[in-house]
Amino acid sequence: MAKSLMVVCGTGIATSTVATGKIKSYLEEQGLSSEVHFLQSKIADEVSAIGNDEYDIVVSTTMVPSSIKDKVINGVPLLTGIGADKVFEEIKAKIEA
Amino acid sequence: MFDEEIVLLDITPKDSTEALSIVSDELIKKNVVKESYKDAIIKREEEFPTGLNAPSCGIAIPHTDAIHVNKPQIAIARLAQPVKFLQMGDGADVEAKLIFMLALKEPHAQLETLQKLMALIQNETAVAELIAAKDSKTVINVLKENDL
Repeated sequence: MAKSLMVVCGTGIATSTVATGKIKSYLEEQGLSSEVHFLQSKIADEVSAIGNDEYDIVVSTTMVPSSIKDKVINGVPLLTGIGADKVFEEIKAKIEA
Repeated sequence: MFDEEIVLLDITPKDSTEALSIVSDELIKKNVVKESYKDAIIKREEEFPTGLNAPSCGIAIPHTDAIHVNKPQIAIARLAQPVKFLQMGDGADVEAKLIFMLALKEPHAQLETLQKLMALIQNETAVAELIAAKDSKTVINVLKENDL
């Protein structure tokens, strides 16, 4: 079954959209697109769902409460380009886990 | 998304809030956003910072909910002296020299613009040109060259 990949930001409309686009292109290159289904939202609506492990993979471009910090991949490098490869590898590792 | 050509060069805000206020006022003046946009963007920045340590300089991409926006637009401001923003994601300090304030309506229609903006901030040559630009016309040309 495809894994759920939730991408969150502060508003759910701007940086999460860019991050989602970057991840999609990467997964297409890797031939892994069919392994995930994408979800996008604002962090305020998702804190409890993330805490309850409702998503397989979570990427955030905004600060998340410390209670869920360990469950979230910091997606900011996808926006600046600095360290983006490491983020892609983390996502890939979770898909293949 | 740059139709109104809102470019503010070498503004001198004392902090990030004043910077957001100055740029918001321009967007309000041009009727691109509603009056409510200014408070919304300041509050949003406090809750969810939008600074980014790009490869060659600190930038910020403040934005807020679409309900405050009349039409999609990007405003650009260059600061005479950087002011401190916080980085989205990790809260690291960002000494922002450039501000790209986004007035966003529908996210997916603007994905391409946002992607181009992210490519621009990673392009050290283009950023250096924006920082060196003598007038707003030069700034607009740099943006156009980068398809914005």
